[in-house]
Amino acid sequence: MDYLKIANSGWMWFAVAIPMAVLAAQVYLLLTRSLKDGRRMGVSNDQIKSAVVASASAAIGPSVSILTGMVSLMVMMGAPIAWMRLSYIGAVMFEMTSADVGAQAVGVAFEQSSMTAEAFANGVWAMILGSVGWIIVSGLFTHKIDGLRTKLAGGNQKALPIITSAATLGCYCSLTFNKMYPVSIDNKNIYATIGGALAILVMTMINKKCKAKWINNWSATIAMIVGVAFAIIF
Amino acid sequence: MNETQQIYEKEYIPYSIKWGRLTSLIGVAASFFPVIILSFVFKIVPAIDAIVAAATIRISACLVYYFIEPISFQPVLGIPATYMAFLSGNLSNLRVPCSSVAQKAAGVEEGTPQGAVLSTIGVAVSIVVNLAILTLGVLLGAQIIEMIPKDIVAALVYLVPALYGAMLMQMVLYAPKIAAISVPLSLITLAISKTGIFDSSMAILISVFGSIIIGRMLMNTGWLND
Repeated sequence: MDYLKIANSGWMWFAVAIPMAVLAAQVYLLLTRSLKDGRRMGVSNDQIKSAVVASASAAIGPSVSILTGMVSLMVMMGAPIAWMRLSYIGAVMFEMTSADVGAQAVGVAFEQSSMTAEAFANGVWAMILGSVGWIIVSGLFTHKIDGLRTKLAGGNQKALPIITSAATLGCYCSLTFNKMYPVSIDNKNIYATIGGALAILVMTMINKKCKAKWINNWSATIAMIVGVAFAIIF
Repeated sequence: MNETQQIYEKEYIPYSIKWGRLTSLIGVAASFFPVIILSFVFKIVPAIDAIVAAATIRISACLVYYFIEPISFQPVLGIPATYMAFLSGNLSNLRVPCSSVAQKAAGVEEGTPQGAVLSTIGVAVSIVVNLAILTLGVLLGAQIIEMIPKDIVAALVYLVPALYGAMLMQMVLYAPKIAAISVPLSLITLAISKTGIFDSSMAILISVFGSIIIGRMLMNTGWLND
């Protein structure tokens, strides 16, 4: 039997539906509690609405980008595995490499013409075994890591926002500068980052003058469009 | 302790840890379902040494990241959002930016109880949107997606760098004094990592915790007071 018949079978859809249901349960439990306790902690409905609009619109671009990466995974590993792996734990590069390594370990080249059912199955094994480490560590130690943050604050309530801002800055500095490397006129990522940054700078200045709510909600999305335009134009 | 802090520490966080940890660990077991179906329904079981060989290559390549990423991203995401972000994946290109975007749009301060709530909402929304778009993609099929013009696909690559630039600028404007430390620190760390002394994932960890520690020290000097 052609391995893709197995990979795209109803049974495989059933198999990926189970982990997806666990993710749905987690999102449901944590989100409903956040909404409930958030309101008790003084978060207004308007704030929630703004956050939903802003996050949803900002998520579209990167998700479409993930979608275009999903095609290669769909062609090689079938739709169910591709769909599940990119909404659950994984990222495109990681999954392609895992599937490749899995196929090679049974002595098969990672090409559709030479793939066998065994190579496919071993690719799935490699994807799973290679990625559960992240959930095990985050599942077991998230609250311990938070203890570290609290310890650094040293019982000072005012220190936590400063620590978090510092962490966020460190995080985005590292992610941004990594994209800007190597520094050369051919690296279009540099124009994209500068475009995104300038767009935020301008919108923040406008927002200071005329408090416009739509700017808050759409600034990240607009900045992404401006950044992409910069990369294409320059 | 005020009432908000009381709710956060005594109710919201204990609940999030209890259910976040439980569902994440169930998620570990559930992720094996595809290979269980392959083994028992289709009777396809690769040779055990092939499984071990492939897994060893992947685990040894990723082992450091299992630890570095949760430690680096947790202070940014807060507790509940960390569980969700790691169970759903695509951390740096989607979950972390959406957490920041949601907090900024709502106008809450990072690191506060409200910040943790909005971060969770942001990550949850990003999971729903990402899932909706991928589901649409699966329904349309690979051939339709491949019809998206090559120019557009090429342009999509620049979305994430643009988003990073935007988020970084937002944080620089919000906390310029801390940025005065973080920016040079990250640049130096990145430059060193490119010489190969340590990996670029290590660079994130050093940037995050270096900024935290120096920020905390500066706070004690009173320089950040305003």
